[in-house]
Formats: sequence, C-alpha cells, structure tokens
Amino acid sequence: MQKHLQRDMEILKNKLIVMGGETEDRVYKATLSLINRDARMANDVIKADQEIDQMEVEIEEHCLKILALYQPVAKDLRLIIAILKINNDLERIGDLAVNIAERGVFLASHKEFEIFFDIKKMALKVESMLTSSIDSLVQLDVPLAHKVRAEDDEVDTLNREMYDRAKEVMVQNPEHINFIMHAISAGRHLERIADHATNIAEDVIYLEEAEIVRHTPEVYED
Amino acid sequence: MRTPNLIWRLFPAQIAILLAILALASWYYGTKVLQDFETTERLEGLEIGTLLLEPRVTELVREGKFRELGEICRQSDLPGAVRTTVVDRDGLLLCDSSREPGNRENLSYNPEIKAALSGEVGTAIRFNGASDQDMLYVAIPLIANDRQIWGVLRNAVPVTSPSGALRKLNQRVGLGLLLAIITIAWLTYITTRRISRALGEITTGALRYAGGDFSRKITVSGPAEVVSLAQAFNHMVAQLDKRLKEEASRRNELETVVSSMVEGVIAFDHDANILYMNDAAALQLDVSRFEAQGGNILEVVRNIDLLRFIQKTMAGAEPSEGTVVLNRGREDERILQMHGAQLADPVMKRLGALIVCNDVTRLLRLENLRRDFVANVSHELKTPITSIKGYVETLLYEAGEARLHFREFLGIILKHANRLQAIVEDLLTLSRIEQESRREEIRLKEGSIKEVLAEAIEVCATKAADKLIEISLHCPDDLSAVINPPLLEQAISNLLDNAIKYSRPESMVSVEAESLDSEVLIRVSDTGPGIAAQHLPRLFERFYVIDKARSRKMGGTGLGLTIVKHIVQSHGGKITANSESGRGSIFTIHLPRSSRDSLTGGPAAQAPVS
Repeated sequence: MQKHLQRDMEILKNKLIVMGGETEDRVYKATLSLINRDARMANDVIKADQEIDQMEVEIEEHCLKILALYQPVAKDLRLIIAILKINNDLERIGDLAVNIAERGVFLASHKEFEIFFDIKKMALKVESMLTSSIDSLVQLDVPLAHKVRAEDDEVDTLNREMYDRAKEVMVQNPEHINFIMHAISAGRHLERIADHATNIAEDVIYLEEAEIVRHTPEVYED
Repeated sequence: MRTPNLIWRLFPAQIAILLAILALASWYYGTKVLQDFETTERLEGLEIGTLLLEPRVTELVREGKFRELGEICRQSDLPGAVRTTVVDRDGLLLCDSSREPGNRENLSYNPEIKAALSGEVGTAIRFNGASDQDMLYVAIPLIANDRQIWGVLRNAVPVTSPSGALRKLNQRVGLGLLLAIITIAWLTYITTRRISRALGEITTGALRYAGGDFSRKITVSGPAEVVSLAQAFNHMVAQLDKRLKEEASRRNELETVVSSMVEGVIAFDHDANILYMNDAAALQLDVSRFEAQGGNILEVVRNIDLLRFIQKTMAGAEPSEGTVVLNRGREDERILQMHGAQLADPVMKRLGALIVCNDVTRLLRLENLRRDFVANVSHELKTPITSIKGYVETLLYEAGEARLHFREFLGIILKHANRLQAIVEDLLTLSRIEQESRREEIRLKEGSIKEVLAEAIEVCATKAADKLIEISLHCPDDLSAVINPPLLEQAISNLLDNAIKYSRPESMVSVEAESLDSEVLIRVSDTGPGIAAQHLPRLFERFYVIDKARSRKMGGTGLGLTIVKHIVQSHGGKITANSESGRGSIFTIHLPRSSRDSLTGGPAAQAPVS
C-alpha cells in the first residue's frame, strides 16, 4: 500500500514540476514579447493557456484521488495540500502571463513609444522569484523559500517606482495615456505574479515546518 | 563443528544396525545353538545315567522286586532332580519317582517310549503339565537275555536355565561382543568424521568463493570422491572468475569510452529517471553526477526545453533533435544541442530514452558575432559606396547645376573612396594578424623599444605638426623586449593617430615606456576629451565608435583599436585604457619581457574576439 502511495506521489510531483516549467516558460515568453514588441510570440502565449488550465484540472483530480484512496497523514497530507494550493497559484500565474501577453499585443502595434520604466529588470526579478519558488518545492529548500519571500519586497518597490514614473510621464505626454495605462497594467500583472510566487514559497515553508507563515512579515536574514 | 549432521546420521544408524545384528546373532547363538548344545550334552549324560541304571532295574524286574524298583525309582539320585520311570513292554507304568503306579497308566503314546519300545534310544523334549516346565526325556529299552524288550527305562530332567558353565560362556561372549561393538563403533566414527570433515572443508571453501575471495583453492584429503568434488569445484570457480573478469573489463572499456566522450550521454527510463549520466553531461547540465544518478530529470535539471525534448524523444519512434537553453538570459547561459532516441530492449519493450548533447554555446556565439560582423561591415561599406554612386550619378546625369559643385562633389567622392580604402585595408590587416597569430607566423625577437617608438612618432609627425601637437617620448635607451618591430610600430602609430585626432590643437601627447619585473609598459597619453566609463569595456570591439559622426569626420574606420589589441595579443601582452570624460586618456600596453612570460597565454591561445 505504501509503495503505491509513494509511486502516485512521485507521479503527482512530476506533473506539478512539468506544470511549473510550462508556467515559467509562459511568463518568460510573455515578458519577452512585451519588451521586444513581438505580437506573434504574444499570441502564442495566449493560445497556449488552455494547456495550463488542463494541467491544473489533472493535478487537482490526481490529488483528490490520492486523498480518497490512501487517506494520507502527516507529511504526506501536508504535501498533498501544498500541491493543491501551489497548483492553484501556478494556474493563476499562467493567466497573468496571458494578461501580460495581451498587453504585449497592444504595445507591439505601438512600437514607436518606449516603455518608460525598467520593465526588463522587473521581469528578470519576477522570473527569478518564480524559478526559485518552484526550485524550493522540488528541493524542499526552506532557506530558498524564505529568500523568495524577502524578494517580494523588492518587486513591490519596483512597482511603486513604476507608478511614480507613470504619473510623471502622463503629465508630460497626455496623448499617450492609453499606451501608458497598458504599460502600467503589465507592470501590475508582474507584481501579482511575484505575489503568487511568494505564496508558493510560503506553502513550501508550511510543508516543511508545519507552520503557516502567511501574513507574517519576512525577517529572514541570509 | 559442522560435522554433527553427517556423523549423527551415519554413526548412530550404523551402530544401531550393528548392535541389532550382533544382538540378533548372539541371541540366536545364546538361546538356540548353545542351548541345543547343552541339551544334547544333557541328553547324553542322561542317557549314560540311564544305561548305568539299567542292570539294576533289569535285575529287580526279573526278581519281581517291584517295590525295590519303586524305591530305586524314587531314590534315583541323578543330579538335576531326575524323574525315573519304568514301563513294561506294553507301555504300562511300572514305577515312577514322582508318583505311585497302579493306575494302569499307559505311556506308550509318548514318542520316546514308543521309540524305545521299538528298540532305539528315544529322546524328547516336552512340556510337562504336572511339573509345569519343559522336561528332557531319555528312554532306553530294557532288553532281556533273550533279546526281547520287556520294558523301557526312562529318565527325565527339567530344562532349566543354563548351567553355570553356560552362563560363564555367555558372559565371555557378551564381553567379546561389547569389545567388538566398541571397536567397530570407533572405526565407523573415524571414517564418518573423515568424510564429513572433508565435506566441511569444501563447504567452507565454497562460502569463501561466494564471499568473493578467489585467492585460495579448496584442498581436502579423504575419499577419492570427495577429493574429486573439491577439484571440480575449484575448476568451476576458476571458470566463473575468468568470465566475471572478462565481463568487468568489457564494462570498464565501455565506461571509459563513454566517460571520455566530449559529448554528454544520458540514459533515462520511461519515467524520466536517470539511469546513467557521463561526466560530460553532468558538466554541461551543471549537476553533480552523484546527485543525478537515479533521480528524476525533472527535479535535477528544471528546464522546460529539456523536458519537452525528452517527451518528444519518448513519444516518437524516430530519433529526434532539438536545442535546449539553460539559464536563459543569464550570464552563464548555455545552449545545448541534443539528439535523442528511444531505448528499446531486445524484446521491443520500451525502456526509456538515450540523449546525446553537445555544448554549442560557443559555436552559436561565434555565429552571432560573425553575423553581426557581416552586418556591420556591409553597412560600413555600403554607406560610402552609396554616397559615391550618388554623387557620380549626379555628376554624370545632371550637367549645368551640378557643374558648379564639380570640385565639391569630386572632393566628397574622393573622401568616401578613401574611407572605403581605409576600411578595406584595416580589415585586411586585422584578418592577416588574426591568421598569422593563429598559425603562429608572427616572429618575435629581441628588439629595442625606443627605436620602435621613435619610428612610430616619426610616422605621425606630419599629422601632429598640422595641429601643432607636441609628442614627447620618454624611454630608456636600453629597454628591450621580444617583439615584432613592424607590427608594434603600427600599433603605436594607431594609438598616436587616435591621440592626435582627438586632442585639441597645441596640446601634448606623451609616449612613455618603462620596465617592470616581468613586463614592459608602453603608455600613450593625451589630454583630449576622454572616454566615458560605459564605453571602456567595448572600446576595442570592431567598428565600435563612441560618436559616429565625429569618428567619420575624423576619417576613422572603427577598426584602429581592434588592430592594436590584436597586435598586442599576438605579442603575448595586453592593453588597457584609462580614461575619464573630459580628462584625457591613457592607453597602456603590457608586453612580456620574454616570450616565456606571456600575459595572456600566448597568441595561439586566443579566443576570437569581437
């Protein structure tokens, strides 16, 4: 019985890792299409979203099956719960990537304007957070998870800077307000992705330490 | 002692059988043979006794003294409580020591009586109900003078337990038996133990082999069969050992071959767990081979391209090809080209996949550089050509208006043509230097630095004079290094050219040389506009210009510094630029004193630079 449970857990974990990888890829392509104003790449991302949705459903069903079949306890139970929640977060991140791609489509048709804030820096940061959060799950690396939580503050700061800059630019170039709004939207989506990545990290911490750290400030020092 | 089993099986069984047989034999002997012997002896004794008694009895009967006869019967004192009986010729009881006659008993039915009545000595052994024991009977016929049988005299003794003699005999036999048993038992024990010990040796030896120790052969002494068994064992083990060694060496060969490959080789099972990964693969994927073994590829290398490639490989029947980018966008970005095929065992059951990967990062980077270079060159060459064509066409087709600007247009055309020429020359120089340094054709020999510097200054003298710029030279007369004078001269003059170009009129350009422990430093400094920090890293790149407009105006090709860098590198040295916006620039060339002290690993070790 134990052997079957372990095997099913392995399969489930692998499925989640695959979904994580695909989500990372979507985020990367979405932000790239935004920066490079590549409408084709953006459309690819939008079209591929249903794959992510399908994966989410599959993983959830698999989790329910394991719960019903094996009634796991303790560490295994926490793992299933963590996977259920992370599954949800990944699907949301996939949706946000689509949103960013949609902004990318718009900005691609307005190539003459430059994005007024350092979106590349923000994107790199967010992608790194996402990768680290999934890594922390795979390796069950709690210090890494804490690090991800700490990095969320940086992204929030970048977001605030973006808003401040946007206000300036809007005043200076009122005719480009539409463009600026789309750009702000993209930045906001990135910030939301960072939040979800943080959620994933918190779920990992819960899994390992059976402690819910959500809503508590991160005071972890490297 | 491992022998109990065999010994305790053989030994007791043998002894038991022995005991049984001997006991049976002795019982038979004791009860039957000896008894019969004794019985016979007794019978004979009885017979003799009876015969001795006969005359007396006959006399008494002839005289008719039956009462005396009775007395005799009663009083007959043969040892062993004898019972005497006399019967007449018809079998009628005349007298008996155990009872009174007179009942007209007839004993003729008794076999011994019957035999005696017919003239023979009769004997019998019979159970006697009256005395409740077995009795021995001897009957002799009483023969009268006229040879007529007138009666039978019979004596009887009970068959009792063996006499003392017999008992003693039996004891002796018993003792002998015991000794025999002990001896045989001991001999059996010895033999059995010898066999079981030999077998034990073989067992120990076999266990030793099982433990992997093939060093000692099994040697036993004992019965021939056991020895042959041991020898056969040894032979079998020797064969096994040889075969195992062959297998191991074959496996080692394979392992060595795969390990030495530059290409990475990874084998997966159908769950994407890593079955095998060689060193090259571990290096390329940046994982530890230890951690990777047995783990799932998804956890070990979390890369979506790799995952998709593995899925593609396992899904398709044909070998697949793909590209995987690791650490995308980061500094340590790595691009691997992968070829994958399914692993199938002879039963055509799918085992997993095999992937061979090549690190093509450098290759792709080179390709990118080349592409950029070609684009750059094309652009640089096209621009002057377009201009030239434009002005030439104007001159050709538009007379009149154009004539006024005749000289001006021709001047411009000439300028562009010169520019083209300069670019092409520089490209050729660069190409030549690269080629020569690659083929190690650049000859270096000990030469005077001061001479080279002086020559270079000479070459630029005119241009300097035009702008009233003074070039100063500070160099020890005896300073020398291993150099290629013409090339070094060209490098210095390129630097001077730049310095002069970008300095204000009437300013100073200085050339200094000094020697340190293992290297020679040559510095060209100017007080021109300087170079901003962000340009410094890319300064020596091909066609890199800070200000396109100004560079073109000055007639620059964008290749000057690149040429300098290549020349310096082919000397085994390096060049650095120090500058700040508005504060002039200093270009420092470091040259090794001798070709042994190469600072960059020598010309042949260069990686192609941009």
